[in-house]
Amino acid sequence: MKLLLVEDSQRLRETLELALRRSGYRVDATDDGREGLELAQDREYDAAILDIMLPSLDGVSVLKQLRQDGIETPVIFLTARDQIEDRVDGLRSGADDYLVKPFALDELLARVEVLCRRSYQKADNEVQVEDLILDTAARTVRRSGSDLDLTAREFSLLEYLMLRSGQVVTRTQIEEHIYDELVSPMSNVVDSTIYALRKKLSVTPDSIPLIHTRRGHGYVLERKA
Amino acid sequence: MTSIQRRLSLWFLGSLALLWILAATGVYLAVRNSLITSIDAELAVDARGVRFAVKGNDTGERNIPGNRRLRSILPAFDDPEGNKYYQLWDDDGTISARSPSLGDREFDFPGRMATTAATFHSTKLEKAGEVRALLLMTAPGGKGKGTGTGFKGKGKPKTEGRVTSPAVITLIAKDMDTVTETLRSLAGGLALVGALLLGGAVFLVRLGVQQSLAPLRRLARETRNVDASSLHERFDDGGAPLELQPVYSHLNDLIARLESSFERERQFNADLAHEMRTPVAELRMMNEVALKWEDQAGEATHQSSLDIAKQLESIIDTLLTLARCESGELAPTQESVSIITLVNEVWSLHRRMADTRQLQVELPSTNIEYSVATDPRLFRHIVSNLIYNAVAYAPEKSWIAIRSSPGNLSVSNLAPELKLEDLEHLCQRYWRKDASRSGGAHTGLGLSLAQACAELCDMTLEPALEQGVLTMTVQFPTE
Repeated sequence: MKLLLVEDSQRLRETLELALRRSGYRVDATDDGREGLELAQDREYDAAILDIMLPSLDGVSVLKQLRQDGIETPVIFLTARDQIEDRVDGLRSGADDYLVKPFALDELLARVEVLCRRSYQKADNEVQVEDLILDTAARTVRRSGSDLDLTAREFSLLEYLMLRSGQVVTRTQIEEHIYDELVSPMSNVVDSTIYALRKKLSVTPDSIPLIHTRRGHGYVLERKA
Repeated sequence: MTSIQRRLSLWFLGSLALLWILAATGVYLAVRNSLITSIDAELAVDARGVRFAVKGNDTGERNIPGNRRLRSILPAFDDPEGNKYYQLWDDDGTISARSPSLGDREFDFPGRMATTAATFHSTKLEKAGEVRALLLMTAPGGKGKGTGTGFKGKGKPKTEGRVTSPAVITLIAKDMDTVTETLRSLAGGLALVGALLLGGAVFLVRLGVQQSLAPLRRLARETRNVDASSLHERFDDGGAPLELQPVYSHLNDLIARLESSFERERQFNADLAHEMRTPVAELRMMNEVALKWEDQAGEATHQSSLDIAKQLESIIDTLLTLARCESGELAPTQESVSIITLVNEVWSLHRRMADTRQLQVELPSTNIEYSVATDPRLFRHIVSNLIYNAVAYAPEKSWIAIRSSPGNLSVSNLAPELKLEDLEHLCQRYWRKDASRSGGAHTGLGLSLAQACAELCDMTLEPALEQGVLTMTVQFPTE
């Protein structure tokens, strides 16, 4: 899952970014409202975490602009404003959730997870295609009863493909979704990760291939008819 | 509780009633006087007849006519049932003639009169009630003075000279019953009209007062609806009477100030929440991450936690000091404070930050020593916050200047992003040019505290902005 984090407090932003990455999310982080808006307009995110009081453009204005642009990315507000009117205003402006500082890390992670599930219209944590089961909360993968040992990037890619099972996902989409600023987009990490995933998903010689290449388009995860 | 409507109504009704009573009384008295004057005129005419009948000869002997002569001159007095009477006396009080209309009644002898002037008076007569009487003294004929009444038809007969020969005292009277009856009818009519008028006035006055007070009631209704959630609304003075226009105007001004005050209070609470909650959130998050992922529990986390704790301590101290300043808990002392010494002390605490930011500084000249009699703690707060602000907000590689002269201390720095309209907000709590309040080290309370301390010390703190240079000047009385 890929998240956008916009928080002007450096300590809080860096700590949250670390926590989210450690929890398996890909994170784009900024301390500026306008920059956050541009990121949300240019890239696809599974959810966004916005502070309300931001430099150059506040969080509510960022959200309103996104909604006007038709961008439905789920948004959770982080703010120190705890009055009922502030919460109501924030939710009415289009936010999906509202968390008052200070908050528990686990609560934030749980709420982010709910938002991401909602963006895929999922009611629970498990995604299943054929005999392949991925648990987004536990971050585990099983096939034919066997647990698969995936790296964080492999898990993210598999999760991305399974949540869009049956849909062709372009290389660009994959790069935007699983890359962060630390990885060069010029590398062949997508190809190598796909290769590694295919290998790990073949738990038995009879395992049905699920990840297919659509030449010139991208990849799709499905049982090939 | 007093009601304006009731007071106005009572006032108007009372005034109307009083005016009516005065008018009715005037009418009554005027009519009465007119009627009596008419009777007096009639009596005066009759008196001329009596004078003619009462003659004297050259020897001065009286010639008192018998009833027959008077009866021929004044036939109206003949009727036993009539309402006119006469009675004559010699000057010794002997009755010399009486009108048949008197019957067996008689008037009391009025006594010898000093002049021949006729006098009118009201008196009572048995079985007739009140009568109007003319009394005069006549001398019988001759050349003596004092003959004739001189009556000309209106008004009272004129006074004549004294009489020396024996005189006849004559009383001519007429019943007042018609006058009394007329006046009674008049009084009754006036009372009835007055009652009807008052009844009508009660209704009209009530209606008039109610309608006139309608704008006041509307104002009261609108005022009752004002509460904390409706301070953005204003009273609509459209159609309000002239007398209420100033009230509407003042109320709207008051509500605008109240709205502004509520907004500042709300903003202050929001700002306080942000300033306190954000560092606590940072502290909590860092330590939860450190607990969750042990590799993060290092020196950096501890140092950050410590920095945050200090920041919170600073915020709390500043807030408490502000609260104490404003509540009057801090009682300023008076000591002589050397400005140069204090500035140098405070500067030494901020020198490192200034060096880090590569700021050039101009300090006050040490050639001249200025002092001020004030509370050293509070004055230190002022100087410290002014210098800290200048060092923190001046652009890197720019300059700050600290100058001192008798009665003032100023701190200047470049402030390219400030505008003139920002100056009025500089000392407001939590106000910062950057609304996001990024950067936890700056709480936005420093200048608020400096101003509160200045006020407590009877000093003034004024900002000025000229050509991108902000100058904060403290003015104080010189020693």
